[in-house]
Amino acid sequence: MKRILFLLCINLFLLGCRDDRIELPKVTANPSQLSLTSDHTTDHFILSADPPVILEWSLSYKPDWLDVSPASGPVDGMNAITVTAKTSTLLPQLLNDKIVITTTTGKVEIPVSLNITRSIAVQLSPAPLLVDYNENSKSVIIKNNSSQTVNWQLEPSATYFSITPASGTLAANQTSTLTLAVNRSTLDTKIYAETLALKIGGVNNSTFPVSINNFKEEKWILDGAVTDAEYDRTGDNLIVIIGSKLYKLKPETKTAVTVDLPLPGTCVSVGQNGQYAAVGHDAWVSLVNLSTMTLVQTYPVTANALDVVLAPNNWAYIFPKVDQWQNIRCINLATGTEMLNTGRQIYAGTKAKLHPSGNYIYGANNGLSPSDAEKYDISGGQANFLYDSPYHGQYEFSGNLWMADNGTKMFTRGRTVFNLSTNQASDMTYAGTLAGSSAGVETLDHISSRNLVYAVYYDYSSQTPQNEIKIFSGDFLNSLGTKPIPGFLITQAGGFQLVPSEGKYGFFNSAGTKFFICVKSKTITGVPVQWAVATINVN
Amino acid sequence: MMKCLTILFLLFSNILQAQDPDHEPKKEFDVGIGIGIDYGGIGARATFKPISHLGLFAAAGYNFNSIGFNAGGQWHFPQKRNDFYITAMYGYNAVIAVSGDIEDKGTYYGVSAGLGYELHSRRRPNFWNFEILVPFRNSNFKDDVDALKYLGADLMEPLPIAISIGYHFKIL
Repeated sequence: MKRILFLLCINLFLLGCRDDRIELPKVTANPSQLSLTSDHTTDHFILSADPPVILEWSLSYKPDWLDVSPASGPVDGMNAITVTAKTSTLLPQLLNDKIVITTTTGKVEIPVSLNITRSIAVQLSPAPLLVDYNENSKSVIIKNNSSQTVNWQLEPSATYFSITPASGTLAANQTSTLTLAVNRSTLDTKIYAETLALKIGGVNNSTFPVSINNFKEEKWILDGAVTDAEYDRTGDNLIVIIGSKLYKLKPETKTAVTVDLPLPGTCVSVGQNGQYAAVGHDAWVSLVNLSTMTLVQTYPVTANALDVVLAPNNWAYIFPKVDQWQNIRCINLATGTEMLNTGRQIYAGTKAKLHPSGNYIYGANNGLSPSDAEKYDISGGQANFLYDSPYHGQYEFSGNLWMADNGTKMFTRGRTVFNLSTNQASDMTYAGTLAGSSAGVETLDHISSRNLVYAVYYDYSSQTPQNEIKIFSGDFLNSLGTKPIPGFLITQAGGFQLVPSEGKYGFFNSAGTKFFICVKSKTITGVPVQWAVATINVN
Repeated sequence: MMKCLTILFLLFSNILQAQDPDHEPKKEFDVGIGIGIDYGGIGARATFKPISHLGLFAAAGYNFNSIGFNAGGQWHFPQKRNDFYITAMYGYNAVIAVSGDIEDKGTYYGVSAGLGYELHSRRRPNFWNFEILVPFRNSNFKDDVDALKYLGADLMEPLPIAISIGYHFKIL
């Protein structure tokens, strides 16, 4: 009994001898515990006091795999304290520990868990992995940053690239060099976003992005800037002027024949039979035999040629570039005699096309408001101004025109389409509008055998031709969709730049199965401009 | 293990020695009331002297917050009427009372040591007891005092020494 009493006294004494501390303002953390994962490596908590008095806190303990920032400060219930898991050397595992904060009035313990399901301890470099346009293989280094040995395995997301070796074992802090190889034979012009999936110990861990830049050259790069181009559907030749040379190109076989010109060409017109071409110069016009690709003769002209029409009557008609009211220079190619057109004068800057009948030229004036179109009779050799359109500002002509290959319609830069006729009453009458907005036509061709119109628009806002072909039906001008024009891959300062194309001169081949278009790379400061011929399949 | 056995042997040998009639010491026991940390605040203290010079005591009292306990030992240096001794104890040795924004009291335990003096009466066996003690306050007390100071509480620094006075009734 005495012993029991003695023990009771001892217990009572020990229980009574615990500090009954004063109740100081209590600091709490919100949230009271943190759960971090491989994907959520950073979290925050806020310390607040109850009652809300300003206290100081400082970090007194944290596990090695955590960073806490800041490490001290005021307990103000506002400023977030950032907790970041240092996962760079940790393999998949679950860790539990705590953060201990010492405040003026006591300690706060914040339990922290870190669940690593996707370890970043095994890394590939360079990161991100980029296989550039000019690379078919590259070295990749795999490194184990953890303190343990790992068995790794890498799986490419597509069959056109591979990694060798694809698996192995790495001791702690060990590296190994791998080879990433790409087979580009089936790739298009595109930045391919692929991945290498990493397994650690046979378990899916993470993926590494792999960017594969691929450019499939579908164009025929030209050696210079194209000044003008026309197409000879008889011989399926693309005739272009580059500087002081006239090129006869066969885009499908990529063969070219050139002839030197005495002066830089400013415009070209291919005769209807494809045998000859007239090339305008500043105060001259050259006649070129396209069959032999020889310069036949160069004739003096009393104007700087903006446009030229080679008619089947063996006359060439030069449309002046400068001055205001001018005359068409009519050159009899048999004699070299120059005559001025009869009837009304034209305005300098007028662009012209030969009507398929070979008897008329239609012109679209520039620099006059409202814009209009005109018709000249060339059946007698010397051009005679017949009349302009029946409209005065009702429709946009906008300074350029293209003929339907059957001569029934005229397409203008203003996207409006007009009927053509030998009867003035029905000539140049409205026949519809090509769909679009804030854009005019940069180049256009019509092929009646396919009932198709392909056009490239000129964007009025950016003041540049677009990089897509708009497709319309030849009869009702229904919009049938678009086709992209392939861009350019331009090397610049050791790097590569994908540059959009601008369609400039487009033509159907005789069968209407291909659309050849002279394109230039979009003008970008510091990037050289390239020209090319792109071949678009016509569906 | 050997150390534990040795300690047990020594304990039992002390008990056996205490029961040896040839060496039976003069046992004393008294109970006193008083004020001071060695009385648990305002309370009572029982002292048992199993052998000469040595006193073992336990005290409980009201310390203006809760029941305060103290227990410890004394080593006496007897004189004719007076009795000086040194003492050490473990128990409550500080109380904090705060009012204002924070209104609370706290009791803190720790070791205290000091000197004592028993003033015996000629006619009666009862005696007066006086002690001067040095309380060794624990870290909780210091932390709380620092916190209260930080919070702006108007605190008087606790005295580094404590005194007590009591009146004891001799039982044995």
